[in-house]
Amino acid sequence: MRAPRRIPVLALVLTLVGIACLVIMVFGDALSGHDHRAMNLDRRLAPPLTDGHLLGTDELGRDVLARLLTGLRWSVATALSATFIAFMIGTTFGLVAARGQSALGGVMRLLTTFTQAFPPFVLAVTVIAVMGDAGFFSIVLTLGLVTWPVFSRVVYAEARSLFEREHVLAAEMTGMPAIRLFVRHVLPGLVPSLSVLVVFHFADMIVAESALSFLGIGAPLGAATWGAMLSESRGYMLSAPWLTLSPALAMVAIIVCAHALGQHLRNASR
Amino acid sequence: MSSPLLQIRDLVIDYGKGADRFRALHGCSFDLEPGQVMAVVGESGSGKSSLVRAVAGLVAPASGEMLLDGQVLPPLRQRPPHTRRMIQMVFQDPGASLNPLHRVQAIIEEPLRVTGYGDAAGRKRRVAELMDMTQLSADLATRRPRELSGGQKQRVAIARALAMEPRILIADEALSALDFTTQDHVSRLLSDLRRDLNLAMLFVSHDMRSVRRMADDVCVIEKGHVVEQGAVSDVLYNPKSAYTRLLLAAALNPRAALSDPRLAEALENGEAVSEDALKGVMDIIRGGALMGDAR
Repeated sequence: MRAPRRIPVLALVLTLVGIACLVIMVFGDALSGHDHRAMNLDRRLAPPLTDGHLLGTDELGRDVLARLLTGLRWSVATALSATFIAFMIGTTFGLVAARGQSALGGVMRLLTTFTQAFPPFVLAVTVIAVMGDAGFFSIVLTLGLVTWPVFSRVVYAEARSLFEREHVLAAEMTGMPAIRLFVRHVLPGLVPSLSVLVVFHFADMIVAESALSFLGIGAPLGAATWGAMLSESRGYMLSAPWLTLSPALAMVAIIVCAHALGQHLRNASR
Repeated sequence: MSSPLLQIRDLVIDYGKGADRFRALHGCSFDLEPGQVMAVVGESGSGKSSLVRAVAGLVAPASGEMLLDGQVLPPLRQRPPHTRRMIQMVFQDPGASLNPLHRVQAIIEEPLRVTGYGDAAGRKRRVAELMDMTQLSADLATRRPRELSGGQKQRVAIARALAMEPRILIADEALSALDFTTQDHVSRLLSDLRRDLNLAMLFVSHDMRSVRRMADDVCVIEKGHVVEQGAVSDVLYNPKSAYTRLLLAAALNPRAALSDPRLAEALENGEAVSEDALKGVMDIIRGGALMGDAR
């Protein structure tokens, strides 16, 4: 008799978290009932559950929940976009480098090694500082452009082995165009590793974006981001700990969820 | 006499570079004519797969010459489409040689798409013909490789290779992963295809029964060196090299081999098999014990 199928509780929880994030992405601070920019100096540093402020207010009397939800939208959008850019560049470079001994492959391997030689976060800080124009697109581009070697390395190693598989060799012997060979025979074999990597990279990008915002070189001045909220709360850690705890716990929650999803995908692919 | 379809001259294959260089094949030469089957035999690591992979274009030779219809045969990626389709390969592991995500119909149709064969209906008809030719029932078209037996998978791989209408089919240990009965069926299928399509074959195997049944000529390779080459009737029944004799002895039914008292004694005492004992083995071979027939 077949054992009853286990309910994938983790998958269910992660799906709900994902849906919740999407809803917040769409509606943002409207869900909190407050405008995240609206200041009220009469109600500054109000503790949680005061006057309709579920997570209290900050030093300018702005609703912390509204800023948290707006920050989530910013963080997720930034992390997803940066991950997408890194994924596209890294996967393309990895596949071309793995394809063979061509000069182009050699150049791509060299470029991957060269880019990876620099610590990505330090590189990102330098590039944004040099650009001097913080904003969504500059952050996303910078994070994507300094972190693509992570994808390139994994894709290169996996694709090298996939290109030696007999079904890929058989397809190659038919004279199949390289793009079709990638799409039909190689990319499907990379899906398990890439899906895990994308999720972990997304979590890393959340942290990286928050760190940049914390340093004041991420989002534009005054924008509600988790990093900026943490930075602004430094002077009130003892007197108004909810200002620090709210973005910190939100960040921990989303990273834990992303890692749980990554582990789940990794186990499922085995 | 027809002109050679494939000419191999002093082919040398190396792996690695510098101090790590390993020579897998030390100069091999032969001709393959249309409809001819050349068996390549040798123990594991002897260089037989390297040889046929070089012909397939999957391995670049260090030196030597490969000519197809008198034209130099470049590595796979440099081959023009009409040259690529002329040489196709059936691999050893039928499970690994089929994309696990694709259905049989898609697997056999894929080469037809690549070569621009007809429209969708025409390709479907051609896939049905190829499945019929390789004795696959039509209802298997919608299955994925994991739902097929080893023999069925190997037939699908053969059908896929035939879709390119090759003139040379390389079978690299194509029977070795199959059970005894299935080996028999697939080797008969290959023989029939060779006869019906005038297909030249490079047949890598260590199964002497299949070699005897299918091949016209045989090339015996030991540690990258060709030690004996010629017609099957000469090489298998009157082997000149001690290595060929050992290979034949290894292929023997052990009970038949041990029936020779000289070989049995040598094996029991842990001694090297003497020339005298090998002669006894050859007597058994000539008596038909190796081939399982009444030759």
